Amino acid sequence: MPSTFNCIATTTLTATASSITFSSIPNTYTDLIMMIAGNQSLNADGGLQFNNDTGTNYSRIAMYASGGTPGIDDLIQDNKDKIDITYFDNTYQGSAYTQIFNYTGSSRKSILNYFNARATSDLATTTGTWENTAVINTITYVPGAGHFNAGMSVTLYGIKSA
Amino acid sequence: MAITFTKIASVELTSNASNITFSSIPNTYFNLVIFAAPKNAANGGNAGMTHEVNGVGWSRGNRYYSLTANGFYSGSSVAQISQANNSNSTNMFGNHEMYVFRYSSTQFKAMQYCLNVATNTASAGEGIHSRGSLNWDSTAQITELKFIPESATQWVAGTNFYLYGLSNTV
Repeated sequence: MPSTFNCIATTTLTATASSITFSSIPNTYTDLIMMIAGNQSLNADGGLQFNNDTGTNYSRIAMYASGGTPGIDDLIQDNKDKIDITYFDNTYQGSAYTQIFNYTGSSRKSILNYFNARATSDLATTTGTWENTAVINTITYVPGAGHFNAGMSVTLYGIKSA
Repeated sequence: MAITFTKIASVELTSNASNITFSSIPNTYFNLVIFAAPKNAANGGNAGMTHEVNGVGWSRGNRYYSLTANGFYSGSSVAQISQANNSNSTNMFGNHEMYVFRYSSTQFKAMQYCLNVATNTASAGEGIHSRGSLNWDSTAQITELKFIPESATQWVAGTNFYLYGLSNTV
């Protein structure tokens, strides 16, 4: 029986970092899953960029409950320089579970993300798109402000269809 | 290539039980995944589920948003998580997926879940889809997870919980 769920790469920060990058991602899987646990120095978003593309080629829509007053709202962002997937703080632990679909296909790439943050009480489901048909071989996770704190971990898994 | 997804333990109830507990969870994995099909023996209302980690409640109560026949809503500071219960159709169990991040680390802990109860009836309130999260502000390793039916009742026979370990060995 072939193994269909493999860890491709993992990073746990021993010092602060301005970004976390997985490069040379093999094209032998069908989908990718990224699991993040950690926090960052400033209350701010964190997002994904692919293949070192820092242009405004990303969009997303999010459904979330945030702040002291629970509520449901949508948040649409177009022409962004990353797909925001987290909103962490400096004290508590947040988490994110992100699926990147058909990353080796010739269609534009889409993601589905779930995240929570303890202090900001955020809970969100995000779907995002990278307006590019290239095979994804590099993923960079960048904070919108500040830096990622030591202790943050990011693990990348690959899922095979067979 | 290392095996990354391993079953640690499972419980499949053949008779009703007051709780389901996974104890002595090994520290050899990176994340935990729980798949469950629970049903609370109580009727409706507050017949959900509460969690304990290492014998205590989670630091941060449940934050969630849910879709039911009664509407789309969100909430917080509620430890209870809705579940299938005895008001639901016979043999109707919910499905519940939980991810516990970095459970063996010295970082604070976070958990996210998704649950669904879908019924083939038009009765208001029978179905629910919900996403939520809990946090535990402790640096201790998680060695025990307990799932307790709300309203001091029992899990119905047929309820099952599966605990998996997710490795980060490349």
